[in-house]
Amino acid sequence: MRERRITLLVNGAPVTRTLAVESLLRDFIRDDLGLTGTKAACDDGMCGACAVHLDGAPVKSCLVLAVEADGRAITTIEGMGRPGALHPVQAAMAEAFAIQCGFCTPGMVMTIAAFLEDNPDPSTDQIREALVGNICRCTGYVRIVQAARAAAQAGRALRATRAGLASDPAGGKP
Amino acid sequence: MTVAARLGQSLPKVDNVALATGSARYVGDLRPAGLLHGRIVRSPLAHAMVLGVDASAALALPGVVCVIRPEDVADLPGFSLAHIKDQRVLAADRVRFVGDPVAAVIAVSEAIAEEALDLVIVEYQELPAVFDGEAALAADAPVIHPEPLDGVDGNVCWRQVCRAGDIDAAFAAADLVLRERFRTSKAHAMPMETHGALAEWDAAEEHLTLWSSTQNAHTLRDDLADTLGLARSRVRVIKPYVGGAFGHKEGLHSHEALAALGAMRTGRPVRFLLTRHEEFGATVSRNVMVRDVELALRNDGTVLAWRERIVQDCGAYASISPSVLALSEFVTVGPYRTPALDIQGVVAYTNTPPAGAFRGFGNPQATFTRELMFDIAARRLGLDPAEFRRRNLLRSEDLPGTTANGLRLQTLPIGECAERAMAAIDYDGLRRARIPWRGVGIVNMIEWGGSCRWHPGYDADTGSVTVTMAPDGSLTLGTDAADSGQGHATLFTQIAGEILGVRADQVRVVMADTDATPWGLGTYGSRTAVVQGSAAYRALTLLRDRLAVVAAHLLEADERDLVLEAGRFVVAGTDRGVPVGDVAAVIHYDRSALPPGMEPSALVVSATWDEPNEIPDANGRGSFSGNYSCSTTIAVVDVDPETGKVTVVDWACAEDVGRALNPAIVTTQLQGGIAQGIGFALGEELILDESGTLMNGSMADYQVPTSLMIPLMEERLIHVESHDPVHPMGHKGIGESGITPPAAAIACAVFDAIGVPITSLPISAEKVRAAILARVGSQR
Repeated sequence: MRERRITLLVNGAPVTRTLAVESLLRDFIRDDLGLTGTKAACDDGMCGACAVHLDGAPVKSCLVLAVEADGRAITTIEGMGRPGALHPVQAAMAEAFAIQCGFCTPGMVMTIAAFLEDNPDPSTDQIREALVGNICRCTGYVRIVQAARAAAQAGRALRATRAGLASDPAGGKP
Repeated sequence: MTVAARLGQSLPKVDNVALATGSARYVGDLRPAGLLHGRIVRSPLAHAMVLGVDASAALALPGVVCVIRPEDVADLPGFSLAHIKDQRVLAADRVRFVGDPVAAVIAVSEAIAEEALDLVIVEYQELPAVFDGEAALAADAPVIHPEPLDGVDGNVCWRQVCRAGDIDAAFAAADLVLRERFRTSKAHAMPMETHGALAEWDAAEEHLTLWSSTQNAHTLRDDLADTLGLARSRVRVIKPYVGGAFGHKEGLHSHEALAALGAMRTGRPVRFLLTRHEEFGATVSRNVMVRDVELALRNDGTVLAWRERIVQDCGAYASISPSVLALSEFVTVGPYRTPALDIQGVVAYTNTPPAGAFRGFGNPQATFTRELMFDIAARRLGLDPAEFRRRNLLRSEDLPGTTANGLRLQTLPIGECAERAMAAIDYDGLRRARIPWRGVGIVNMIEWGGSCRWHPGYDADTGSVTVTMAPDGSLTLGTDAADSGQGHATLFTQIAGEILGVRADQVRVVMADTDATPWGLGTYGSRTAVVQGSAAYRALTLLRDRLAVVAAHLLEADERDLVLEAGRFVVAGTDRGVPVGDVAAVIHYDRSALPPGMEPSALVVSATWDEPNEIPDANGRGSFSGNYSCSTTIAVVDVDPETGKVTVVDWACAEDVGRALNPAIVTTQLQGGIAQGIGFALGEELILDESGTLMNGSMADYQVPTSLMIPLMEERLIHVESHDPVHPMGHKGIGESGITPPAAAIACAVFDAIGVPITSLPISAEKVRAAILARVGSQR
């Protein structure tokens, strides 16, 4: 078994580990790092439950070798938000009743968050297209699409507020 | 939150944060020190004798800790989800389907356990196999269970009838008799989380703990303890977060017993997680049914009688298939006036993966059969499908009342459901539009809204709740109910808020932990809101009454004058009151403040709800559910005539929910069920090759609906509220209501679009295209 030492940023913190070169990024995240929010639900890249961000881009971590993350940055669901400070996509999922069993939820959050970064004002059909690689067996997707729409709206509102603050020397104060 | 949640309010799910942040722990996320990993050696043959298992090479592999062989478990009794105990922890001398467990390997890592699977050498003697329910009933078919089993005769696992009225007279009086054969498919529940279990054995305390992805902690505990020969109190089953279940995580499975045996043998924690392929190929799927119908009609469309013969394939083991057939028969004639019926069904063993419980439990098959048959009849008679149904629906003057086969109906607003669904989607406008290759299907269904009493093993339909109030007035609610995403903790929090005025942040719900929660049958059959919900209502009401006695004493008032407002007992019409927490503190700590003769005590109340239903008689007559719900569904589809592809373009459903306790949860339960039903209608099917080997056991090959396949139905999902009197909160169970109508509705819509009924599920593009070509050919 060939091993290799890798160094990467995990949710903003530097990590160095020695691991078998054939280790999947998904298994490295779950078993070596103990970050079990990333889920394993299939073995063929079909379900999206293991989605994480690699240098900001969404990847299915069962289709990536851990050594490919050497020198790069990964973000997992644990790096997205926490109790009392949910990421806007997490908050939108909760408010929209888009979470049932929760097993697909981390992957959905990662996929939607990355999609909205690139598409701040998506149409409903664009959202449905963006979710096609993430399987949910509980909700029928209706509320997940709603949540993505709501999160996009919240993101635009936030950016508008920030832009307003930046262009206003009084910092938005009357 | 500063005020208590109430019933009827869409309280956000109380476990949202744990689920959204990934901190919720499922069985695969548990990380006990010294954990070992198990994998199951499974039969590659559909039917064979097992002559021997040689584990020496596997045991020689570094990292393998032990191998469990058939002879190690030969003395353990058989088990089953129902009464026919035809399953063994490991197939003893005979394997009966590709995937039957033969041995188990336990190793220090999952990778080593997997590597060792191929090193376990099993010697088989292959036997002839049978893969079809009807073929299995032939006189010369290989017998799959030759061992003596309760009531089993050859490959006949179970017979079930449902008979009422004078069937011969009804057929003799008919203007028209129509015959048709229907076939349903072997769909799989495919929860996102596969089955898994983790066991720990404490040898000093002689106590086993099993964390399992299950729906029924207590009955799993009982069956596991009995299988292992332990007192039931020495086994603790805990349900962690469960990633979807949909009926097929009921009862004891081999991997749970193997985890326990592995832990007892090694003294270390042992976990088995089924792979996705094992999940598809070795856990229960939906029963295939072949249904031969004869329908007796008058020329005006009046249904006079329904005669049917059903062969239901249960695969290699009975599981709960007898009950699936029974319930399917009991609801076959639906929410219609049907004076005479004669349904005779057989459950047949085959050498295929076992079938049994999957959300809907026989009703999707029955509803598909009836509603498509009705459309065939309506077309023959030149009646609009909605009008044909209207002439036969049960009416308000039939209520309250009892159907021909004994279902007791207090409320069943099917007429209102039909009107509201048709209005919501403009049914008449859709009919007038006549867009080529667009079809409209309208279907009605009846559903058990009050659980079901159909376990041949016991005359009980129970769930329990224990409420414990702490001295500060906060509440722990324990129950056998086992959430797998439905929102049970949220519902119990709302019931507590309604009855005791406690805020959500004062309530902790503990579910499905046999050392911590009271006994009950767990979660299945749309039962938790009605059964454990009603138990919670009872327990909380008893607790409120206990508190009120002391509050009245403290306030020097009459108990009958007290009202609960914002967490305080208040003397009605005054501002004199006492917080619930203060009353709880007095009860725990202060004898001098209590009414004379009352001692300080813990504040613990338990209540069980046994659903008011009955086991049907030998003719299948009786009210097996406590109440019944109904719905009308309208599907609109487009058919691509070139490819046969069916696209669902619009949907309406008016569903009798009794009373929506949390409207958003009701809606999302319906949406999720409808999505699964659309998958069942259009493509989901396990496919076996001629040797019985599963051909599509992966998520790439078994295609469940994606976000593109499901219409964004929202405003046309209508809650009809009948406020049924059977349960104290007026509601009905709705967990299975979504999945039942879609196959029927889509089949009827496709029939409308192409003019030919597709009578076998799934309604694949290939079948639709072939039907279009055949019709075109016949018109030339």
